[in-house]
Amino acid sequence: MWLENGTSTALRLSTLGSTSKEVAPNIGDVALRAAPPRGSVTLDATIDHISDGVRILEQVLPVAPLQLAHLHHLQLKSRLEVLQSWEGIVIDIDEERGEFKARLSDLTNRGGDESEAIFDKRDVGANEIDLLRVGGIFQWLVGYRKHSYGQMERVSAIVFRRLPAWHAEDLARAQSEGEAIAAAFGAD
Amino acid sequence: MKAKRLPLLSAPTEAYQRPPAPNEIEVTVIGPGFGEAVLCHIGDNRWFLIDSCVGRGAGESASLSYLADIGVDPVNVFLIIISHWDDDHCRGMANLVECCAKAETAMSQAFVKKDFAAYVATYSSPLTQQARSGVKEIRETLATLIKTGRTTPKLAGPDRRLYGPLASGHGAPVSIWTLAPSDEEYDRFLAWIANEMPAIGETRRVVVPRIRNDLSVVVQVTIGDDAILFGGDLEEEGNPLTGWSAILASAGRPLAPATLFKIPHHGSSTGDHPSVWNQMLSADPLAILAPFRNGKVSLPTTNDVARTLKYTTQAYASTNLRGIAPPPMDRVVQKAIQEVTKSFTTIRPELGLVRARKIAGSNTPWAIELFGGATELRQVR
Amino acid sequence: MKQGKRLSVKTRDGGYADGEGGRVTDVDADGAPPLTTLRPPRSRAERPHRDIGTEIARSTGLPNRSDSATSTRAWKEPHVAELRDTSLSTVLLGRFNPLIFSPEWLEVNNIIGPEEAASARESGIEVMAPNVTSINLGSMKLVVEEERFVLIVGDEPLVRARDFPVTCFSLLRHTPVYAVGLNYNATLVATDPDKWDRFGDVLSPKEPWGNFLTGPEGARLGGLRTLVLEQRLGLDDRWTYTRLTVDAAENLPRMHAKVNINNHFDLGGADKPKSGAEAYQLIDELWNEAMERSRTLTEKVKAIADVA
Repeated sequence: MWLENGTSTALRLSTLGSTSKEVAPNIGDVALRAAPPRGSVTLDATIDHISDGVRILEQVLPVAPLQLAHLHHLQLKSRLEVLQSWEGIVIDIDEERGEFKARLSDLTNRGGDESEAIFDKRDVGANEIDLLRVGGIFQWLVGYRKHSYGQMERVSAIVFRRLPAWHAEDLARAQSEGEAIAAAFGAD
Repeated sequence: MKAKRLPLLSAPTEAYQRPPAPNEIEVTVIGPGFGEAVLCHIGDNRWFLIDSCVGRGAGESASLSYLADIGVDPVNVFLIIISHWDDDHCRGMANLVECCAKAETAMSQAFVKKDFAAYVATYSSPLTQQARSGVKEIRETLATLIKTGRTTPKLAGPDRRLYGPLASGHGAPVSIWTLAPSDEEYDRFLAWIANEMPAIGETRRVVVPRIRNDLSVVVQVTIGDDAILFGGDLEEEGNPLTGWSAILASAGRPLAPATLFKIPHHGSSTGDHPSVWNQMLSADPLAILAPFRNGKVSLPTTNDVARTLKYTTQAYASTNLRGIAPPPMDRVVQKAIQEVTKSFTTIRPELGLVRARKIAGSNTPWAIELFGGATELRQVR
Repeated sequence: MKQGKRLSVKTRDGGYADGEGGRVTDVDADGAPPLTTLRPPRSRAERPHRDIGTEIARSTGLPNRSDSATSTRAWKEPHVAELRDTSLSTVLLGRFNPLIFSPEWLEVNNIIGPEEAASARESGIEVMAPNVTSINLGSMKLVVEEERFVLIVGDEPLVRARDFPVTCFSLLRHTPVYAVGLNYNATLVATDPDKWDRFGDVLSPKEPWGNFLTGPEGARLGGLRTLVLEQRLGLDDRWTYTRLTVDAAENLPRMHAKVNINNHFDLGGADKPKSGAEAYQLIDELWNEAMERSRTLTEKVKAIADVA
């Protein structure tokens, strides 16, 4: 029989016995051994295994704390030291000339002058070109990229921001606000 | 703790700080900040304002700063006319509306229609770090008006008398009219707004407004037999239902010729209609404009200056359009800018004021004062 | 205008092979990456110098205000203390399904781009299992467990530590979330051992500890390893605390310390979680302020080290 703990995600089973009990997974040579964290599921590989009326479906590897720590480690091959950065808004795109115009706000010296610049579209990488449109927001970073093998390069990078989309709820909320304002001014 | 207020000008003189006398009419044009602003004193320390701007680096409305500089309490502002809705042209408006607690507002009814308010609410949160959303100011302005109970604005439109005739201590009755936007422009604007709403699933972006201001408000003030015409940003496209053609064709507007003309749309050719000079203005009127500079575009052009000087010998600009020094920057950054961009220009508002005063109801000419970067129009470039 | 050559492993459209994007504008004359470690810029005698500030000034007739003193700051060695390697991480606590966060799902929902997704599929997935997903995404790393979502951003643009989770949870609006952490990390590095010791003494004076830290004749027996301070300002009723940690961990080189600012926001509690929608709105509203405060606090730690 199943026991569900009421969440709407994938089928889950309650913990088996004490959470501090060490469980040795029985799968190949995987040497991950650890006490499963509270609330986790620890299962036997044998599909027919039943314990305390709970049916075990599949083995899920518990992740040891050190392994978790390793998962959180980010190894970088290079790092960008920024000398100057701007936030840019695309205000015009000239497809014929392959360029776009942007209004720039200084992120390095906040409150500084605004500027306007024209960029070559080819300076926008393939990873981001779909985000290049009027009103699109990007960061323009100028600085040095230092590689782990010792090289240093002067670089310029235009990186568009991947922002949330407008969802139906957002637009519905805006419509409600619009109606409320119109009602407040008697301009329904 | 509130930051100490800075004066509008870095070195205000005594002459600058003198407020108008109760029987003096004053028109002051400030700009360009991000946007431009106009103040008008109709006598007896009563003021109305048109639009708002801030100076470079200043958060406060330039109009509030000017009033404080000449010792006028914002409580004496009885009307604020709002004709722009995008951040680049009305910065400081929410602050202005809040501080002028006794002022009524006048605007096109389009600003309080649900479609426009929904548009503004939608685009208010693009998640930028520094750049403005494009609609933040108007949204905050509408919220301030609701919060302060000022939810019955006067509606700007063709041939509408907002006030008057108002009695005054100087004896010349004062009326304030709006002559635009036309009904056609109003309808067109709302249709454009409806098309600009994002689709579901579209990645958030910033509003990039149209250059053309469909809802530009034109204001005419009559003081006895005299008149002042504030042309706003109204442009002409040769359509009898829009622009200056619609105003000229109207039979319901006041006919007193104006002796002071605030030239529309930064003196550009698109804002010009020769019949305005022939039919709505006195001979050789005082003309004032606020130039426009945005990256590579600057108005008025040399041709615009030459054309305007054929209409009048008394023309002034609130600032000049001479070059701006680039900001100091790391040499490596300067090099990268040169290598990466096809052009890079700094936008820095250079505030200036043109102030005109005269005794109400008199036939004396306007007395002109220039402050900050203001200049005669012939020297604007 | 002198054009820099491209490195052979980079393409103009593809940017860097690690998916970072960027255009290389300065390499050796033969086009090959130099084999030596950090090299100083070529002197004026070696290559022609262009001062764009002067050029602009000359063409406009305006004064040149460029600051010649700042152009070599990237090359200066730290003479007191320096902050390096800034990274951010965003952590959400709640109830998640790690299997959702596949490269395909991230790409289709515009959380990562096509090249990032391709690279992740090829070699970025460390583990994808019902209880944990861990994916390398270039200079980002995503680790999702059943009760924790962690995004680490190790390189610019650091604002991705905001955009990525905001976009995720604008989609997963109904996911239970009961806490958010916006974390700012940097490494403090010094070169003067005496100043470094004094810095530790300022943060935690040795005197109260007597002979635990001070041996005969004043010999130094040890010192500060980790300092944790917590502030509860009440700036926002969701902003529970800000915790500052200075940690000279054993696995770090000498005179290095990790500085971590943990901005913690409670959303209800583990037994009464709020939603992904509220979490993303919180990040949207409070991100700028949290980062500004974190930057200021980190600079304050450096300032203490500088004057020690």
